[in-house]
Amino acid sequence: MKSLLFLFAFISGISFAQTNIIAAKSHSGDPSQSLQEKDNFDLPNETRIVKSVKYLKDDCIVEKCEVTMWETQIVHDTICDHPFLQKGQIDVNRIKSMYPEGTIYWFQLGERR
Amino acid sequence: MRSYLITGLGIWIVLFALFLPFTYGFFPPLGIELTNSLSGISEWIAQSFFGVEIYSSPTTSDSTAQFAQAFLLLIFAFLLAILLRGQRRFTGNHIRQFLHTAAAYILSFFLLKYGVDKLFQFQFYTPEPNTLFTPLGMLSKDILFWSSMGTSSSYNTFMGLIEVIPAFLLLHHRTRLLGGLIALGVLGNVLMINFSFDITVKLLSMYLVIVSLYVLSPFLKNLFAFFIANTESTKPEMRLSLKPKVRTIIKSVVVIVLFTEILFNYVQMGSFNGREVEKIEHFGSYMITRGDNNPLNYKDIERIHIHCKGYLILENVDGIFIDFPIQIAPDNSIIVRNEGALIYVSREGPTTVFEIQKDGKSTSFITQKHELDSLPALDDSFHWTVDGMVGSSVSNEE
Repeated sequence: MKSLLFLFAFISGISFAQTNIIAAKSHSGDPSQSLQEKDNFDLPNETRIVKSVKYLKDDCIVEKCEVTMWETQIVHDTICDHPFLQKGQIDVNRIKSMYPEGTIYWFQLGERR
Repeated sequence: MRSYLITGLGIWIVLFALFLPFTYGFFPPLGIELTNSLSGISEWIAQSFFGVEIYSSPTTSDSTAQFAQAFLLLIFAFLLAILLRGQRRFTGNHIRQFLHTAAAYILSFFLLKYGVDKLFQFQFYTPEPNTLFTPLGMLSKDILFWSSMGTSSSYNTFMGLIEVIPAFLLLHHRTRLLGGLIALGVLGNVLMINFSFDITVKLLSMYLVIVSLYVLSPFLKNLFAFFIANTESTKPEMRLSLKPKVRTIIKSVVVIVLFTEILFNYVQMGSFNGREVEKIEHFGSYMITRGDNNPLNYKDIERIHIHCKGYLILENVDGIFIDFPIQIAPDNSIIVRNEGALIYVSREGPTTVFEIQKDGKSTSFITQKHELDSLPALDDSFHWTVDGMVGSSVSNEE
């Protein structure tokens, strides 16, 4: 059986806040730099860090995410039949291309058996 | 003319809600997509008509493009109102009833969303460690208001309740007038807070006050008769003209969908109290007592703070704060991405040692962790009498 297991983490673009300005001020950041980000009209923010992506079958992956909205929780998502996950074509580069531009990949372990 | 005005305003209320780039938990991000599709025109209007330079994304609350989009949607709405008057399928009364019910549900949704968020203590969070150590005069009004609200969970519960109660009243046609009146009072206060403390949710709060007024508008004669003229009056029928069973089914589906969206994030997180959630590793404030006080090559650092959203903040002796986004590694060390540094943290009795590895060099400093809960701002004690308050401060001094 062919399987592909790799592990990486990234911070996605999903980072919206109470308001960008207040969120930036809360960590002594520069509010002007937050104006290109989405914000959530006063409501709490959420960050999503994909901790690992695991190959499930020919056209499916399981994404393990760390979702933080004041507390951190592990969420698993099974993604099947995605345009980038065509049967027999799943590899690290194709999966990476599913994630937004500017994604930071922390580390990556590739394994095939 | 009055009829066009009311229909146009009703359509604008619905369009504004659809185009609002709100990030939902359960609903699809339709507003973000729609806002992005109009962003070219909105930004052109903002630059050409209002003469404003664009610095922000059109999906940011109170961006110039958002104001321009609201203006653009107002024009669309009145054009649609004229088109609707020309058709024969629906009567003017049907359209008014639909728009009035839609406005009541939109208002109820936003009150529930913000009310539940306050009730569950997620909106106004406990001030962050760096905020607690910032002198009051150095905080701008918006973060100052946010921080003050964040120090009192009981006031947040109260504020949450007075938003949730009218939200429920608005969902039922018999109590809609009362719900609308309370909503107007609550949202009028929110609008004034946003204006007075310069909080950048002015457009949305203005919109919600307009929606409250729209919901109340068919009942103005009743309000005048009740409060001023002391006469009897009959309430206009603003319910959708549908068969009772159909109406019940539609209402049930809409209410279930609204509540799914409102509770989705909390159920997904399994948390219904924002104050009890686990904080990031090393969260808190640390006073440097010994060792290198120039961490990450910044001079004269007095304290370091770890912010719950993943920031390391250095505070120097002049009270200047510098922030760095961080990640906590599996071994609990701190990764400072932008600086290419790794910080190992170890506790030795009452002290915490930070060892920074950067550019192949290692420096360390010893800190004392502050007990944030013992700071006056986070003191949750309550006193019925001034004697009790004075008595407790005297016993604290002793």
